[in-house]
Amino acid sequence: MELGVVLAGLLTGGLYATIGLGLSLVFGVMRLVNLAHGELIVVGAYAASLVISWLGVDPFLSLVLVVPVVAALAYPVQRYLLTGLLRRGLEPPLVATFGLSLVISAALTAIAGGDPRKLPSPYSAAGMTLFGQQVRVIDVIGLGIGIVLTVLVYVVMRHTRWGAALRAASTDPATAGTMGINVNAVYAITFAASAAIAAIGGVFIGTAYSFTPTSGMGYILIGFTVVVLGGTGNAFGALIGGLVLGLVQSVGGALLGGQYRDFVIYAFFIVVLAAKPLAERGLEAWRGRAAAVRAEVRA
Amino acid sequence: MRRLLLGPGVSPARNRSLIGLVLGVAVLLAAQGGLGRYQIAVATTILLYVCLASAWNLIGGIAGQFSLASSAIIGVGSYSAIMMLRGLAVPVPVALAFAVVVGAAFAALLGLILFRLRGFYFTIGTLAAALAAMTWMTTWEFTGGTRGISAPLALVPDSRSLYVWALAAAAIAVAVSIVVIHSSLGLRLRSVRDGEDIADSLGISPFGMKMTAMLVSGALTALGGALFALQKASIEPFSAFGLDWSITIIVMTIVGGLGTVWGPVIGVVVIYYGITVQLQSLPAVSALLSGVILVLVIRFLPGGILGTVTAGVRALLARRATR
Repeated sequence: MELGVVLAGLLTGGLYATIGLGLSLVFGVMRLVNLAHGELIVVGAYAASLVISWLGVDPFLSLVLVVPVVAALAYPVQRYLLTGLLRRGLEPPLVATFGLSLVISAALTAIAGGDPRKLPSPYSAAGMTLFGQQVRVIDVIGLGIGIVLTVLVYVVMRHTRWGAALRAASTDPATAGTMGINVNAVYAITFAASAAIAAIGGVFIGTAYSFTPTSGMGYILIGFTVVVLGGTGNAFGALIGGLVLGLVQSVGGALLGGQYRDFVIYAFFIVVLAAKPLAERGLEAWRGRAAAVRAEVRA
Repeated sequence: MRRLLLGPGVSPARNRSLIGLVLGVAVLLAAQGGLGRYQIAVATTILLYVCLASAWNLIGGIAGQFSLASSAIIGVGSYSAIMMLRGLAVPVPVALAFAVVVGAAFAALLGLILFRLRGFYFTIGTLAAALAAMTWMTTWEFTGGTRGISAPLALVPDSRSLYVWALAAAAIAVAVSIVVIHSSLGLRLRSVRDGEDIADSLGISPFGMKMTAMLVSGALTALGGALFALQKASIEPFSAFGLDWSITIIVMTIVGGLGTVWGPVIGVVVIYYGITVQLQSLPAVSALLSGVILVLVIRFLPGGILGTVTAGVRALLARRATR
């Protein structure tokens, strides 16, 4: 396998990590399966496109406006719609986010039309040399975004008071509530943070590729693949999952032909999903054995 | 016949529903002569959606498996029927029967792989399967790739006989729902939906129940898909396998009333006739409106339209009884 294929896979993996990170955050903290996450990504791209046409700034500079706006829009959605539904079981929030994804993509189609768009930037087509391979500058930026966001989420989760409140609300919401943690607010802020990460991903996608109001559905599947691959306990899980998925897609596309790139992801996802319970059972059995061995040693 | 209607375990509610269905079919059959060309087309579409929504209700509502794979099964049914008509020039009933068999087999294959997963993992798995099937069809030259295929016009039934076919498909789907919901099978399916582990411990095989629902639902979904394909006469992967199918059907079923016989029927009429047809010139607005309705229904009317009305009527009756 040539180095170029591997490198291309790792670079797209950065984007996939960003997509998976937001999903894994809301799933890890409140067990919410957000089927509208792909649409949040697309909203970020359209918001940036609006800001750029107003102010004529660089796509990544538009994030200064786009991120707070998307986060502010997302906050009440969790606070007044989804949190109440989470208490009714798994299916109602699933259906509600499904409805939201429909609303968002339809609203974007109604406002902006269905034609593909791209965010203009001087460097979206520029190339550079990395390890002797020609790559696009923008793809390197994508990997950088993925790594920076992962580290940021990790640091906030592990080393701030706010992260401690979040972990408490996620482990045991009822007890956290009695300890003076406003669980409803924590949930809503988590959702807003996830939407902000999605918006950053969306601006990157808009700069590096193109987007339409219905692009979201494809990205959400990538996000779920990353979450399932990397697990939800740790922010670095999403990064590793994203890089692995990028590699698999790149290598699969190189082996089978470019038109199978998307098919590789979907098929790989089904295989991973089907194999995951087995792997987990294997891991548990292994842990169980280790515990038994330890018990024996102690005896 | 007597045992079928009055035997042990047969509920009066089931018979009332069946009688209602027969009357409805008779009325729709008699009304056929009075409908114009456009009305026939709209009525055919409504009936086919009834077939698809009732089919999804079996797996999504009664067995509680929130599947997004309907679009893939619809696509398989569409392509099977059109390929048969085109390649072998068989009569329409044979093409439909072939589509049903292939659709059921495809659904069984999906179930075999995806029922290893539970809850939303299953949902996301079906999403992957639906997208995988669509991208696969765009690259498969045997079925015409992205260009798609069309049926020879001489073999496609005219709009009036298509209406009768659609009526038959809808009637079969609703009849199956009635029989399943009021049977011990329906009870076992609901027990798997409401508590998989408890059902398992009581000797019900969750896997077997889910596969049964998936098979029946898949056969009916493929039938509806094949008839939709005949209505359009020419199909391509993005419309035949489009995720819009799953989305529309699920919205209809949930808005009408999940897990009930008549909920999907009500949902189809409300969403398709009430919104899609009325806002024909503004497809984005009608999609927006159905999304908003879905969110509002799930937030404020957990039982859908039918569930809320039933609960309201029951409350009224109870109040009158206590007075």
